[in-house]
This record gives sequence, C-alpha cells and structure tokens, in this order.
Amino acid sequence: MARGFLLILLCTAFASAHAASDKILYHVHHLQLDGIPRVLSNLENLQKGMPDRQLDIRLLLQGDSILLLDPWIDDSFRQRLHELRQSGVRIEVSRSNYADNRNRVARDHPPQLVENLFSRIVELEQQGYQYVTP
Amino acid sequence: MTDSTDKKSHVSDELLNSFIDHQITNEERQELLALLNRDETLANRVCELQRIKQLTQLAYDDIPAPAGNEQPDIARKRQFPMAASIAIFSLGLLLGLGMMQINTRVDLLPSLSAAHAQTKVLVHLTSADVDAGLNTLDNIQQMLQEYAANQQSVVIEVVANGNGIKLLSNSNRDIARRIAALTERHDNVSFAACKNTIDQIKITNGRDIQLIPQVKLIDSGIVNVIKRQQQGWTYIRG
Repeated sequence: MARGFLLILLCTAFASAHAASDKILYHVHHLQLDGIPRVLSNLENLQKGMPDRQLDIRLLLQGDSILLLDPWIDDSFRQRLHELRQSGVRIEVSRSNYADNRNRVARDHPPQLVENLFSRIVELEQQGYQYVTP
Repeated sequence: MTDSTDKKSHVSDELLNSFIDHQITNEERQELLALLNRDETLANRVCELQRIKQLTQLAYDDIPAPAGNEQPDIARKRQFPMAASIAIFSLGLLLGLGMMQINTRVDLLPSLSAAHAQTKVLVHLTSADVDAGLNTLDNIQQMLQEYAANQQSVVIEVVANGNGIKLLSNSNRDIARRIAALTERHDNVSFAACKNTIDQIKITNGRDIQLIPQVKLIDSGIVNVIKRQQQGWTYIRG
C-alpha cells in the first residue's frame, strides 16, 4: 500500500514538473567574436525573464558558431557559458562540425553530438520546442 | 464550418473512451481521427482521457487480488485508501495537465502526427556570409540524404531576402555550383528570392542582381516566410 502512495506522489510530482517546463530551441546559425555577448545575454535574459518556469533550453551551434566552445575565447565569456550549462542549458553540435573543429573545442565539457543539425531542429520543433535565433 | 463545429461539440467522453479502447467501428474511428486532426481541443481531451486511463491502470497494478474468504467490510476498508489515493493522484494529474502549455497532442498521439508524415521545412537566408551559406547548403544536402535513406518524405524551400539575396546571385560560383547540383539531384528542394529586395537594391545602388538560374523569383520573401509558417512548415534560419 505504501508503494502505491509513493508511486502516486512521484507521478503527481512528475506531472507537475513536466507541466511547468518550457522548451526552447536556440539556434545560432552563424557567429563571429563580436556576436558572442549577444548570444550569452539572450540566454541569460531568457532565464532571468522566466524565473518561475522550468526551462529546457537546447543551444544548437551551426558551422562557425562552434566558436562559442573555443577554450581561448575571453575568460568572462567562458565563465558565463559555464554558468549557463550549469543551469541546464544543453549544447548540441553536428558530428561533422565537431570532427572538423575538434581542436577548437574545450574538452572538459563536450557538447552533445547529432547527425544533422537541420534534422535535429525539425525533430525538436515537432517535440514542441520554441524556435529562437539571435 | 457550422456542421463540423456542431459535430466537435457533441463528441462525448464515452465515445472518446471507446475510441481509446478500440471499441468503435472503423468508420467511426476514421471520422473521429479526421475530427481530431482539425480540432486541437478535442485532441487534448483524448490525450487527457488516455493519460488518466494509463496512470489509473498503473496505480491498480499494485493492488493485490482480494482474498476470497475476506469479510466484505474488511475489503472495503482496504479499498478506501487506494480509492482516495487514486482520487488525489487524478486531481494532481489534472492540475498538472491544466498547466501544460506545449504540444500535448504531438507527445501523446504520435499516430495522428504520423498520418501526415511529410516534413516541410522553410530555410530563411538573411545573411550574405558565404561560409555560413555553404554550411547551410551542407546541412540541407545531409538532411535530404538522411530522409531519402530512411524513406521519409521531406520538402525544403529556401527563401532569401535582405542580404541573403547576395547568396542566390550568380556572383558566387561555389554557391551557384552547389545549388545547381542540389536541384538537379533532388526535386524536393527549391530556392526563391524576394523581388522586393532586388528592386530595392536596384533603386538604392543602381545594380541589377542576376540570380542563379535555378532560383525562382517571388513577390515578397517575408510574406512567403510567414505564410509557410502559418501552413505548418518548420522554420530554420539558414
């Protein structure tokens, strides 16, 4: 009987948690050094602007946008990106882009790899993620 | 319109439960599926009923079968906490569902989404950056190949306006070659350029834009982008 109650409580908690989440797909299709602050600020402001919501943010980096993961970018940028990741922002990069730029990507925190970025965008949008670009 | 609206409003929970339990005829099922595709509210009602049913079944899985020699009043005492817990659980669940905002229908009724399996994608070019443009073409090519390999249907329309027009002009040979190859190999990808932007460039710079031969001209790129999204196309910034 106790197991039944526990199951019910867990399911209810799960349903409530799921209900309160917002799914966001942030796609950076092109990025140069001067665009980094805007990307970071967008994501930070998104979190600040919705403090009562549980945000599920996917950051998809296309082509040269993988620059964001470069270990040699400004320390303050790296710190802000680290904090975003700590807060749950998940970064996704295509397998081929990662292979081409392996030496430009910080190794402590590898991104999630996907086969094709556009197919992934379609998949996430079909799952209800809201599409946003810088 | 009024006919279908009337029909929607008269679909009872009983009929929806029968639909979930596969206890209706094929004709009724087809008719209901057509209604569900048109009416999101109705589809959400099915989702709620289906979810409650599944979770209730899950909760009942833990209930041991009543022993045959138990006194009726003892059995009732044992059933009460479970009934109460199911009621509490259902209340919690409904509260959670009430707050849910995003695409319940897609999550819970994959068969309905699969009925319209063709994926339609609009790629919007607004930047003149050649490397970014080439990368976008790489992604389009990979996507076309992936869908073909999986025998899935996809249509991709690439629309350029603003600075993106430069990518579809014949001034860049690499891009022109790639577009020619893509359109020759795949008939489910097309390229279009905004006439408004081209006219504006002519007025501002006195320069004629010569488009790549495979690119068609459309009156307004931005209107096309909005229309496609209204029609349910997936938008990707390229």
